[in-house]
Amino acid sequence: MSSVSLSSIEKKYGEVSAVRDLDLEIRDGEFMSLLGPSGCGKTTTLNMIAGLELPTSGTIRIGDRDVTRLTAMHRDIAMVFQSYALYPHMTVERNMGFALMVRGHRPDEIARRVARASEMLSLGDYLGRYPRQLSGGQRQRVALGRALVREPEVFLLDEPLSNLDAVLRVQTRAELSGLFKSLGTTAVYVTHDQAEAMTMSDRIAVFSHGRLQQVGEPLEIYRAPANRFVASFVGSPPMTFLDAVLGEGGEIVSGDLRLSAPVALAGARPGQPIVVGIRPEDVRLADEGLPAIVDVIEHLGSLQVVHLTAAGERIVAQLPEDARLRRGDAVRVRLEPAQLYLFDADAGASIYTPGRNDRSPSHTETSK
Amino acid sequence: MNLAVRLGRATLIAIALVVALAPFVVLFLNSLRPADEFLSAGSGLVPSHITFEHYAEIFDPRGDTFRYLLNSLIITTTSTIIAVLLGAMAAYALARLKLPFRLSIVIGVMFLVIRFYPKITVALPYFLLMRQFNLLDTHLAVIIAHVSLTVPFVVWMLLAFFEDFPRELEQAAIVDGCGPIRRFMLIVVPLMTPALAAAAVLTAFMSWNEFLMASTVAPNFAKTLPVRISGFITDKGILWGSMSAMSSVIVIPVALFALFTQRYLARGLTVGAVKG
Repeated sequence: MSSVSLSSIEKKYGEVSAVRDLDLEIRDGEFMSLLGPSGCGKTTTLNMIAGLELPTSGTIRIGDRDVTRLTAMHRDIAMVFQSYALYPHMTVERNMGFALMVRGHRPDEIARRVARASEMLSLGDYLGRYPRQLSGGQRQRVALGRALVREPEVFLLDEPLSNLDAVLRVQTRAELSGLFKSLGTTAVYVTHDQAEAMTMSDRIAVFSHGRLQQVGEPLEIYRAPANRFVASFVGSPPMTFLDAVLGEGGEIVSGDLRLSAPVALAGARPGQPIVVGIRPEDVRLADEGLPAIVDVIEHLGSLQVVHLTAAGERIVAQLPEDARLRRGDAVRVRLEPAQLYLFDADAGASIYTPGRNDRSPSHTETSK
Repeated sequence: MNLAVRLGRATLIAIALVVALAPFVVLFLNSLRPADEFLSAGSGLVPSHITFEHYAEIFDPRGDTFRYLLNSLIITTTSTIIAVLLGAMAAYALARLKLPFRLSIVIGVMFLVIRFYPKITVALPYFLLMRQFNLLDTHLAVIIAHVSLTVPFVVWMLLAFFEDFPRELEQAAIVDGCGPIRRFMLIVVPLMTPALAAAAVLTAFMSWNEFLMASTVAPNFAKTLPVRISGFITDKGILWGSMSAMSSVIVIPVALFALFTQRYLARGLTVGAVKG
């Protein structure tokens, strides 16, 4: 078990920077997700922690060791690959024991550890099979087992669930989460799926265009996003954004739409352009409020996602199914001022979020 | 598919087969033809009667055929092992090393070019070189020549394979603690057996059939079967019967081998071209 610390990491491919100015501290025993769209630098970051790629500059430490220039084989890490990367010519048992064999462990020790891991993952019946004889879910478990038998300082997981079907993915998500909680080993988990990151992580690091946008606990990321990108990437259905300006007397004006501002915004001058973010679940139907027209209804069973037009702007609302609505209905909606998200129109940095009212970020880092 | 199209295809295949196989039929028939029939006018394609005298003659225990056969076997086997070993490692390195200035492409193209130059241009310099090294008429001289002829082919063929080899498998091996040698021997080689086998078979064929270099540097003791065949052209005339018999003997193992390995060959040759 160990912490992982990245400081001033930069990774360039020729002239292109894949990762810039990265400072990230992963605590001992923590489950940390690296979240972001493809090409954001999260997998490059993972590969640098693994030692499969070397940073152009910066320092990587695992525990109290500086591993920046160590190759992967000399770092005490185990990795689960997106494609699983099981050795096709070896049985499940040999796949799982391979690393121990290469590292010169005694056969009885290898057998003991493989047996334990296969029991944890219910792979006992498949030890003699080859990867091609297994289902996708079983292969995924073998890949996990191969990492578990190593008993490493740090687990690295590169989108391990992305090749599973939807039902299995949700089920495995919970199993994985439980497994890593019980192991208590530091884990770094790369994903582009915000639901995985939200449900499994102790903390999430959100990446975009090679830059770390924010690090924080899942609800902090959700309720106090550091900037517009984080707010838009986390949350499903996604946040609605409206271009607006600050009006006189603490008003937010977006086209014909007028909302009251959540707080007296310090330092804000009337006429300043801002962006207002509205989480779909914060939109409520009410007797008094903004008049709106129902455009589209998506039924999810327990909830419905309703696309509304209010004063010429589109707003997405997530409402309980008992609100019986039909396309074209005229309704009134209420937006709680305290639940609004306000962002700087140019830089995108957040001015106000429901989860954090002071504007001094504690252990969150905003993009520069 | 209608009948006309199928007939057309069958006809085309038949023509191609005849063109490809007719020489072997003639060769085989000639090996069974009585010696006096070769030069007499009016003898047809099929011998008047069948004789095994040419086979008996070339396999005469007092003759040298077995020695030449042994030479051919030694040279083919050794050349193949060395060429495939060397070529596979070179191709792997070429596919994996990040060389500056697109050097790996340049090297790859050079290997391709080397396959196409007329071999006669180096035959004489190679002869002189071997004389310098006192290697004339040794197995080694022929082996070196054959390795140098076949390594470029092996590299070129395996390069495509290595470039398609899944990176994550090797990364997994690195994380599991394998250095380059173990990665190659424990993960890459076992998974590329079909390609290696194809490369080996084609290399063996090339070495088995090669005439020019073998005849240049090994005229006597280390003579191979193809070189021996040319020896039937004598100042007293051409021994057509013996020549045909020995040619048939050379062709048969190659044909049988190709037959048994064709599945592998087809797979190995299309590696990289089509993804399964």
